[in-house]
Amino acid sequence: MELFFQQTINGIMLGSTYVLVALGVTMIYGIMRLPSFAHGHFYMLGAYITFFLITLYNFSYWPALILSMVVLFFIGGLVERIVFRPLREQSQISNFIAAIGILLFIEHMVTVIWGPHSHRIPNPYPEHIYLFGASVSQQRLIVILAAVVLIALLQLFIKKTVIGFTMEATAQDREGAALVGINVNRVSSLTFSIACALAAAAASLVAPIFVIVPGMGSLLVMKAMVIFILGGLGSIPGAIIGGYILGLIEALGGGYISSEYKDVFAFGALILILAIKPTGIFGKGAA
Amino acid sequence: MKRFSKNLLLLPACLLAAVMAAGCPPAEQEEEEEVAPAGEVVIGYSGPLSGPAAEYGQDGLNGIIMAVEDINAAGGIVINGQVYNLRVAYYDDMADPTVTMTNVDRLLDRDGAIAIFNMVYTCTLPMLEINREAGREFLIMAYTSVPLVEYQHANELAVWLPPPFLGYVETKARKAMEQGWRRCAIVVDSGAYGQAWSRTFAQYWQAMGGTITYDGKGSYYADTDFSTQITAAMATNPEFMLIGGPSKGTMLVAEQARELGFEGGFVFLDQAKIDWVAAALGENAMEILDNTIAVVAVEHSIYPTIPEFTQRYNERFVEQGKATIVTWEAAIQYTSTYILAKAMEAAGSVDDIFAIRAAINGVLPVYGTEFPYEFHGITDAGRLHAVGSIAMIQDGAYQPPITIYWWPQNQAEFDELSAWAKETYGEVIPVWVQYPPPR
Amino acid sequence: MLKLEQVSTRIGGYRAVNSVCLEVRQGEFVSLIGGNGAGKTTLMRTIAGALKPFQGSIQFMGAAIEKLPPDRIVRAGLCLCPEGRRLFPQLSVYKNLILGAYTRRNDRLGVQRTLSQVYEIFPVLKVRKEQPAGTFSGGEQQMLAIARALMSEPKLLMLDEPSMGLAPLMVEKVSEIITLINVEMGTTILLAEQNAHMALNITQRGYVIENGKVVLEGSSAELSDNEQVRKAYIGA
Repeated sequence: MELFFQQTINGIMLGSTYVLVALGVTMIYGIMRLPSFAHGHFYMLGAYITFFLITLYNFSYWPALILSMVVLFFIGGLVERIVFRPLREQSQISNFIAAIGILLFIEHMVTVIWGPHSHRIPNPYPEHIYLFGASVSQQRLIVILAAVVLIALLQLFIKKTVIGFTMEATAQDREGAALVGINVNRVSSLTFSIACALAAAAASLVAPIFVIVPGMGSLLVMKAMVIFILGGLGSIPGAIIGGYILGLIEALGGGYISSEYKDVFAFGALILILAIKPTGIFGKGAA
Repeated sequence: MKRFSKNLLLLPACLLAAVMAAGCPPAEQEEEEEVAPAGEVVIGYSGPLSGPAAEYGQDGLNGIIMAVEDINAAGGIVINGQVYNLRVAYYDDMADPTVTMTNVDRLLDRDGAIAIFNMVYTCTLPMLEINREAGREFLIMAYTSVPLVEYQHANELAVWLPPPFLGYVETKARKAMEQGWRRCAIVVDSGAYGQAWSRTFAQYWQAMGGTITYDGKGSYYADTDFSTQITAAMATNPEFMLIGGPSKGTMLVAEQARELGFEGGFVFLDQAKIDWVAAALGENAMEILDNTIAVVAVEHSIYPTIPEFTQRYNERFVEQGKATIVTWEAAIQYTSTYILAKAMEAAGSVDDIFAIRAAINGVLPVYGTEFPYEFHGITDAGRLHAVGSIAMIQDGAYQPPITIYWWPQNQAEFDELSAWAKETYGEVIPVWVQYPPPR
Repeated sequence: MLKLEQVSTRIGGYRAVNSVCLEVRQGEFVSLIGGNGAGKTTLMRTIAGALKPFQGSIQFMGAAIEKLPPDRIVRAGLCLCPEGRRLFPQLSVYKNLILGAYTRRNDRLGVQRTLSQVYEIFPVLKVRKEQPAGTFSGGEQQMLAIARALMSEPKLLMLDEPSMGLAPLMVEKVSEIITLINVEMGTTILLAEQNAHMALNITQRGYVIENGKVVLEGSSAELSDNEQVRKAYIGA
């Protein structure tokens, strides 16, 4: 039972980062019909900026995290504006190429500036506590709680503010949104910005317990893509539930069956769910 | 499409500006500018300089660069009164064998390299197929501790630099036994090297009477969270965990195991650097790494040359952001480059590859009293007699290192070596491991 | 108020709108009659800014708008209630309406006032304001689309085929409401319709469009009596 509880916490913690990154991918797809393969790299950039603020400018952890979100918010908006907006009318393949270009650019830029070796943010909360016989480090609890807070804030923003309505409206009918007077380009920028800020938050949250390297987002973005498809393309509740499910599958499958097949379970779940429900858990049929 | 390319050009500028504004130091451009006074000899390198293994590859390259700089500063190599300076030509292969082969062509045809260093076993393999083609011969300086490969892929133009890992496996297993540990859980890197290592360890361990309670793996390069495997491993009540792979992943596994409440010991694969891990763990390092058996940290080596070497390495690379700490990779490649230069002088040639290879036997041994590493000789199969060394952290401190000699053929040879070592370095704990292992 | 000169728009490579000249004056109720594929929708989308004409000029209240994005045109007071309604199906009626007033979001009181006006005209929307728009019947969705367009307080309201797919009784109701908007609220209306009978009944003037070109114009009464129009669109 202790073992089960421990693995469940492990899974929720894994899922927390998955959700934050997958939400970004999902939102960007919803608004722009763009599979954002570069999202893992924005995540990585967010971690580097936090690292950088802490080590070079002696920021403490939380202000650095928030500032990193702000920086990524602006970088995201900028990327949408100068890369993806001009490609709006172009074929999907141009968007793919642009995303790959951004991804390679960010990775190499970071490698040139900060070197290929890994960095670490000093853990602000290194103690661990015991919960029902399971040992959890404080920072891991913080990751879990902060993810919940961010998800709740995002939901409130989308469901309760007019700007949030415009995001949903644009996702549901882009031209309809433009015709009621919504500046859909601005909505796209804002979406990209929020998605990047969420990625920065996720990366900065786990940076003290993991390490920061230029390639840290590569595997994560694949998992985010899995969740995004699993949850039903563009479905926000799907991304949230899908992210936690994937984390739990990995932890419980990896823990009880075989660690060797940890990732096999994740991708196997994708295949299985798509076979049963081709539109994903929360998919709504053809878009 | 025109707009597309214009905007794609804009992006780097903007992002760079954003990052610069955030206050980072501009990247140092490294150029090897050499005015060749007389001749030039090119030493090639192909290895991972980007991607997950980039740090490992860079460490090795740094060793070569530093040796070449030192040799040139001391007047280059002199053959029949003719002075030659060395130059390193290096290309990134991201540990991808197909890229390695492209790099090899470039190094041979464009740079005229006479020897090529490579640090990834799977990339070295295809090089072994082509390094003896008439007219295109080159020396392979192979950095791999996979045991017996020098027999399986016998190659008269290959030199195998580091000690075979069997010495580490046996010595670490013995050390673990000495601690009274019997129950071992394995959580090692899922890569080929990690798996080969842990399989060998499991054989030795079981042969010594130990048990393997859990055998799991994780992707030390790609993954960051190992709590799933560790939790499962801990459920089997091990006394120690065999962990390791790249240092980054190893550090995370050790830290996460302690977070999850693991109180036993660790045995590291030789790939994982204890000093790197300790530095990354920060102030709790000694607590987390208590009862860890690993390859000795460079700074705790018995060689008297190490402090000076470390200091110069730090100035040349660490402070330039080209490395995190000094590593054995750097020390081994540094010393190997020296051997290569000496062999050219001894052979009286900078292009007769066979003669240079043959001359290596004559320039050995080189000792830790003069170099940051020592090679006592070379086996018939081409593996340098490289000294392995392990240490254990206990009660918050590094214990004296154990020195592994694997090439003596009998007790008498080993005793002689031990006596020499004690005389030369004072406090030494030598052990003898038979290699190839008796079957 | 709205003046089009020589406006042409391409869809793909095809000239769906070809040198159209058209004018709507303050307070008028004008119809645009044409069959399926005649170019009505393309013309409406061009005026609304969703498509860009490759030649010609569009003036609204004296300002050129042919290069403006749709949101700026709505802001200027010209709103299109598009073909197929283009509601936000998973959002509630209330959110659809609030989004209709997006350009006026800083005028909270004004929006509330318009909202109660709209609820008065369409009482069903108030009753079911929390219901997702996608769950409504076709007629109700059309009402909501018109209501949403009204929320921006347009000076000129363009309606693209509001009768499409509706039962005759519903068509009747929709035309009543449109007339009410023109007469009672004083909103200028440009109505695109395939249903010429309905359109010419309630409008004052009309244009007939075929293959992207305006082929006839005149008062609604004249057009109703026109033999060609009767044959082609009224079927009598």
